[in-house]
Amino acid sequence: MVISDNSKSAIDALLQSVMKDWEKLHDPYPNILYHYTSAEGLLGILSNKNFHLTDLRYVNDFSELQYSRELIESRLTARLEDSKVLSGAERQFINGNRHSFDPFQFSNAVYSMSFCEEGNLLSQWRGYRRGGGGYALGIDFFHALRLLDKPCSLRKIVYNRQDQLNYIDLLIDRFLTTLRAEFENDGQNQADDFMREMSEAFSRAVGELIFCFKHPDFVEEREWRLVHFARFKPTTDRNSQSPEFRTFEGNVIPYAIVSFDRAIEVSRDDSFGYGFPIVELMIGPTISAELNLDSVTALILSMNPDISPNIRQSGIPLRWL
Amino acid sequence: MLHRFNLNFESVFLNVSQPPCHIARTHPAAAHLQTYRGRVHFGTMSTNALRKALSDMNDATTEYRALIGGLLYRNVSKPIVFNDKSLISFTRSNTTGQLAVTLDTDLVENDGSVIASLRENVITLNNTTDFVKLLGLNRQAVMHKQTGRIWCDLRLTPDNYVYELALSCILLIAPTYPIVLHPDRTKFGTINDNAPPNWLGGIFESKTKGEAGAFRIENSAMYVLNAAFENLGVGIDISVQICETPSDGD
Repeated sequence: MVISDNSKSAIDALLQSVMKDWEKLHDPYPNILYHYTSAEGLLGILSNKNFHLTDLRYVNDFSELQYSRELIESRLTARLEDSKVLSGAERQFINGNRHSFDPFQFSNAVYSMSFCEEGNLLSQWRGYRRGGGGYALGIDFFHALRLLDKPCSLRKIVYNRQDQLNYIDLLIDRFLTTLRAEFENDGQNQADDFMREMSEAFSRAVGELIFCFKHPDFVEEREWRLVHFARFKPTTDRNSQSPEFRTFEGNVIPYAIVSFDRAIEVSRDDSFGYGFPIVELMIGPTISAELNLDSVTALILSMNPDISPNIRQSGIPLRWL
Repeated sequence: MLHRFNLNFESVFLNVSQPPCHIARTHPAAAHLQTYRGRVHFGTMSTNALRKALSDMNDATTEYRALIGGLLYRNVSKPIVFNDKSLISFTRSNTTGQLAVTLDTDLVENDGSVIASLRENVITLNNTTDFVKLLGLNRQAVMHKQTGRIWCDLRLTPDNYVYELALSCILLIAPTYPIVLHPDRTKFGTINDNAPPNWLGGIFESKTKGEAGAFRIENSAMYVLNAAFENLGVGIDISVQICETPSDGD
């Protein structure tokens, strides 16, 4: 049995409305966002003119996702315990989702690359290059985002716990409201199918929350994520795009390559009005900053000779790392 | 390495003979941009709001820092003058201290039709059929919908920045002599010729805040990169004998 067109439309409208409100949180984004990386990472990004976005399930700190999952589970459970006025369908929805929501089901994947609002943070230099030799690549995404070869979005990380709870509660409220309205209209005729569709929509919606929440202790990072959503299902969809793979500490890690070659190409054309997208490059604490200044300047100019590279040195002493 | 020039005389004349050319009409990026369905916003300031904002402004030509066409202008009364007409002017809000830039000419297409205007940091779009205004964080830009070409991009910067605002735009006051204030470089009367800059890495400075000009261009093209102008009456003074518009076949 399939759900009625009206019910299907109601779920689509709900999801669209939720996503539209969610997008507002991430717009506008800062004019410069910094990616901290090593010398090898910098060379890879600039030489190949692409970013490597890692499948979020395989990011270095898996506990990031676990934190969000537990928060969402706790709010669903609290809803069951606190509310005495939930209908049977509402209880069924919450019970069915609180332990089993999975934004990565149906072969969905979220590929992500981390950026920071600040280009010279001691904690970031420590985190990425404890021995020195780190770089922060400042990107202006205002125009460059449109010129990437895969559709990407920028997502702001939410660190405030109360804000996180508010977003979750609001999301649950909106799903329960739609559920209530649809059951009043169509009764129990299509309960199982409707509930399954609602659960899938809920998983997609919380999927956005999961990778945008981090523990409040990390607030200094002021992180943004460049994300690309993809579905790899080669068995049934022969055109689905395969990710790339690399190894890390014995694990096989999927990642997506997102090229910014076109943004570089257009920046060389006087008449197109697009600036060079790498608007700043910060050389982290290192013993050979002057030497690196020359080499990195040459590297940037090899990409576009008609610019004045904005390359700066972090004033943070190496001994602080 | 930036070279510093202290100017206490009227002006420096540079004559660089390069034939002006006009802007290419298509680009490989166009096809990609036509398919974009992302963050596009529309919006203009109401007349009352604009009037109120203007009444709050005063002349800011004596103290400001702005990046125009990739070049830094600091306290220059008239950054760019074209055939005796100043193209850019500044004001500053009495209450907020915010620097505001005005283009003293409209943004026009090759055929002379008006695209938009920029007054006191407010871009008003005239041609909403072919162009769209993009809004970001302290950022506005005018984009041609079909080609994706950016005709104007204005960015206000945080307090601790080297400059208070950055402006880039394409000015076609004389179609045979494009003034390209690109985000990274400034070109007068020339475009996409793959030639190195005529002037690279200099600071033109007057300590007297007099009427001196950095340099003057007469009937010639010029490409300036990584230069700064400080405490001058005029930044770049262009004098050009305007030719007829070239036909499409030129």
